[in-house]
Amino acid sequence: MSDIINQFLAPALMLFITGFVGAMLKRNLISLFMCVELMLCGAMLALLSFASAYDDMRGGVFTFFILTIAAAEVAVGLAILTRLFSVAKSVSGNNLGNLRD
Amino acid sequence: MADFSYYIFCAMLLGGALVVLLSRGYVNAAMGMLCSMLGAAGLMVLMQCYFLAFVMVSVYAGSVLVLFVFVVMLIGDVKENSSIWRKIGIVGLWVVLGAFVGWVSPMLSQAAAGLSKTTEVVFLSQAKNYGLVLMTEFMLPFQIAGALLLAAMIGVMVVAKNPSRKKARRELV
Repeated sequence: MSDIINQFLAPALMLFITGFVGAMLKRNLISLFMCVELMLCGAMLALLSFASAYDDMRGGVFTFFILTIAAAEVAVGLAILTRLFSVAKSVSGNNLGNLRD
Repeated sequence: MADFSYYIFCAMLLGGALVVLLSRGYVNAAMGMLCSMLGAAGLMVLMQCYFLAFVMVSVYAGSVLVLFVFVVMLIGDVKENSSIWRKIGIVGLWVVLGAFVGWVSPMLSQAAAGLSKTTEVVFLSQAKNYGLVLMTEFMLPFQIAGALLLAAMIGVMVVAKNPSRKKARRELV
């Protein structure tokens, strides 16, 4: 049982950590978004690894919700990003204050 | 055969993620993310979650990634300048954290394997079961997710509206 969970949990954790390192280190917002997506994907895989080991539907349903929310989040985030680019001519996170006015 | 495809999908997943972490241009990062998402979908197939693998490919690889590439097309591909030492540092950090995962993950799964199994056995592979659970046990979260999608849509419209044009129109009047 624990082997089956570990087989899918280890790549999921590794993917989450990769995304986390990127989210900490990246400065521009597009790369940062991509790293957040990787973190979400790692969380989904971890949920599914437990759900498939226990034949429990709830992990699958939560994965479904994460997919929905991630799609909405990307749409809103990229809209803000294009707005920032038209105001500040750059997508660096340091310029986010320019959106105030 | 399943073992072989498992390693292939893991390599796609983590290799793509590493490309996202290290690449200088946005387009390369987007392609790395595509590779990573396809690897994740493959792992979902190996877990026998066929419906979620399909949704993963159609939503992530189909729409989210297209959105990323579209925005990169709008703002232009910018090359970040990062030194080789920074990259070596990132890879070193990644390897150290990977060793940590290799240490902690068996313990986590060992602890989880002791949990009692639920009595009802459902099949994650069938789309019909998702519909049944979403419409009964998870009705409220389902409605909230729908409301959130509507709010996100309206919010994106508000953000995307050009205020300078509005100001110009107001001045004309």
